[in-house]
Amino acid sequence: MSQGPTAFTLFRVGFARILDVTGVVLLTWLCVQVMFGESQPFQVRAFWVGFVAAASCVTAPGARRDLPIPMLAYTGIALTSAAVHYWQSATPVGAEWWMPFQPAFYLVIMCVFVAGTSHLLRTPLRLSVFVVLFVTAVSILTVQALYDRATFGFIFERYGNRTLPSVVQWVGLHQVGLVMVLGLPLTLSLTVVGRSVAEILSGALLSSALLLVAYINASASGVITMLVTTVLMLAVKAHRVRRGWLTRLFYALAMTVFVGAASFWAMKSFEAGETQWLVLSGQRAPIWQAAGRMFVDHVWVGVGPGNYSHAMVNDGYAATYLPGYPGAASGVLHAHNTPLQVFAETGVFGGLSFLAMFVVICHACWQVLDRGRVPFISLGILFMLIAFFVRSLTDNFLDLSLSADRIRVLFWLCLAAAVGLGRQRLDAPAESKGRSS
Amino acid sequence: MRSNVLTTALCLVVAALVAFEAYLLFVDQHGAFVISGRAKYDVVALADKKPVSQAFMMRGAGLESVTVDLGSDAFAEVRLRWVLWRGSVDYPPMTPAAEGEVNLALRPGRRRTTFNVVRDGSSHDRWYTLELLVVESTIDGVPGRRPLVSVLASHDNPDRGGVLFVNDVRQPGSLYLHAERRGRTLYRRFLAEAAPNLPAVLQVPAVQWAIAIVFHWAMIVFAYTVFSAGGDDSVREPS
Repeated sequence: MSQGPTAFTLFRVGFARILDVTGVVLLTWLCVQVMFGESQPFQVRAFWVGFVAAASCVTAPGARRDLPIPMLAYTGIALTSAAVHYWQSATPVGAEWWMPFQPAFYLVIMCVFVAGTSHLLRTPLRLSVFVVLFVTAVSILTVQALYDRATFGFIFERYGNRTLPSVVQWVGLHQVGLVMVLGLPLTLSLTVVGRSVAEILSGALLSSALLLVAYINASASGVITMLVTTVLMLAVKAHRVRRGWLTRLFYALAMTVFVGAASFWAMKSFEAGETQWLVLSGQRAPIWQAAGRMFVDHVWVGVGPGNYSHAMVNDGYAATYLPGYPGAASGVLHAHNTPLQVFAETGVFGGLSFLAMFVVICHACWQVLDRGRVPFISLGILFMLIAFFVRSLTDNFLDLSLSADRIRVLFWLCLAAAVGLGRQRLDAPAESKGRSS
Repeated sequence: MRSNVLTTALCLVVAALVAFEAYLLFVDQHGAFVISGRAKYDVVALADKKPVSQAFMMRGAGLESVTVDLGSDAFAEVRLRWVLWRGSVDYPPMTPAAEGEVNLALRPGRRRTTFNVVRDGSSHDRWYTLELLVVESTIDGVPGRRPLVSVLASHDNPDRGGVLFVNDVRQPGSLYLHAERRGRTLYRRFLAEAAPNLPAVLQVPAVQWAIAIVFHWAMIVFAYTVFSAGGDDSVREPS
């Protein structure tokens, strides 16, 4: 005679379901606020969303509760680095116990948020809802950005028109461009994976619109990232396609044209008498050099999370490396390269664990894609993460100086979706199908 | 069967969303610009008959009323003079857009008070200054004692929070302020503000409608395909 579930189990399942529904509602509201809301403490709200969702995850029987180890390692190393630098400095008497870790606390919130939200986004159906809503939100923001530019007669100023509503909301045109960068892989996946003409055409139309508005938005780094993402997605398609040499030749030619055009542009810059590397890097080369030097000088524990700007000024890196300093302060606030800044702030182990975090999560998504499951979603989310990483090579969107509160939560959302997707690789299709329905 | 349910559900959702979008684009004329900080406090200088002003840059055309939260520590009769200036100290000239005196019966606690003005069709991104001054105040049944009349403000200054003045001295923070507007619909705004700057071919209404329809079609196909993939979860090799 089989024994039925105990009262405690039933209570636990019911409680988990209540937390689950609450978490989904809170997450939806948070996403709306992040995309369209006024400035507010998004990270604090993300913590509570993550807390409720994580509670649901802990309560639900049989739920996956693991996080990528490099993510935990990166958080731990950053906390340690923060504490080391706090204790090296003059410690205020009567300081709270958590004060030494405070500069890296946002990473703890990240872990809580990703753990909880990846549980909320655990089924293909929920991931598909996330993808559709995200693309809808990106499309609305894209229309807003286009409208703003058209209203001002497409007149551009250096650093963008800072009074445009979309630019004001995101505190910079690069941040607006980043949202389009994140949206492109999701729409383009329809073209890459789609079979019918309608699917391919609709994906191509939406992607072209995003690319066009990104160009009008005038964030060169954003446009280049979108082009690189497109080429990489086509390369993945070429890698997976099994139609013979003709198709491979087509994609090889496409990549050749892209690389050739980039080389031509670089050569033209060189012939124009400009320092090639400086031009190619968008004037960022000295900043990267300074950040690299900072990392070499503090190779084990870095200068401490959040201390980049302080070290640039007080340790003389800015005066040594940045041309025009202190008149021109570009590069003092952040390193214009996220991995480089992470290396400089948390040292070699922090930097490597940060890179490993991307590799591990992308690898899990790739395995889902490789099995041919939910290909639209898996290809889109995988490349959304890759696009963020590529874009982060020329700017640091996770730094406080760039409206990081909003963008950090957006990035965590992408991470959570990718972690949720990555877990699909270990589930049997039949089981997953049952859960998704 | 599952596909039919999905299709029907998606059709209903799409119909609802398109209807909502049409309402926002072609019908809805109302909106509000709100300044609402987090660290709230009461500006009690109002009780001492000192002027309290808030300069703000309006978002949206068609400003027709401004609301603030007045407070009192007792049942009181208050005569309040208010002026809505067009412009601010930092963005002169300042000309009165509307002014008046109101008699208010306040209770202990806070009360929302609205000042109506003649609708300003060109209020978008224009500076205004709301000035409040208590002319006379008495506590009900206690002649000779003045109530502690105040107006709600915040120590922090949120986005587009403007500038707060108390007794003509600039202060950190801003008043809690709610500016109602009745402006053009979004579509009328598009025709007036954005359309004239578009390339000639995009100024043709037929082309604009064609782009809108194609864009919506693409979004619907995208949503349907992704939902189908997510709901079905069948193995599908990229071709």
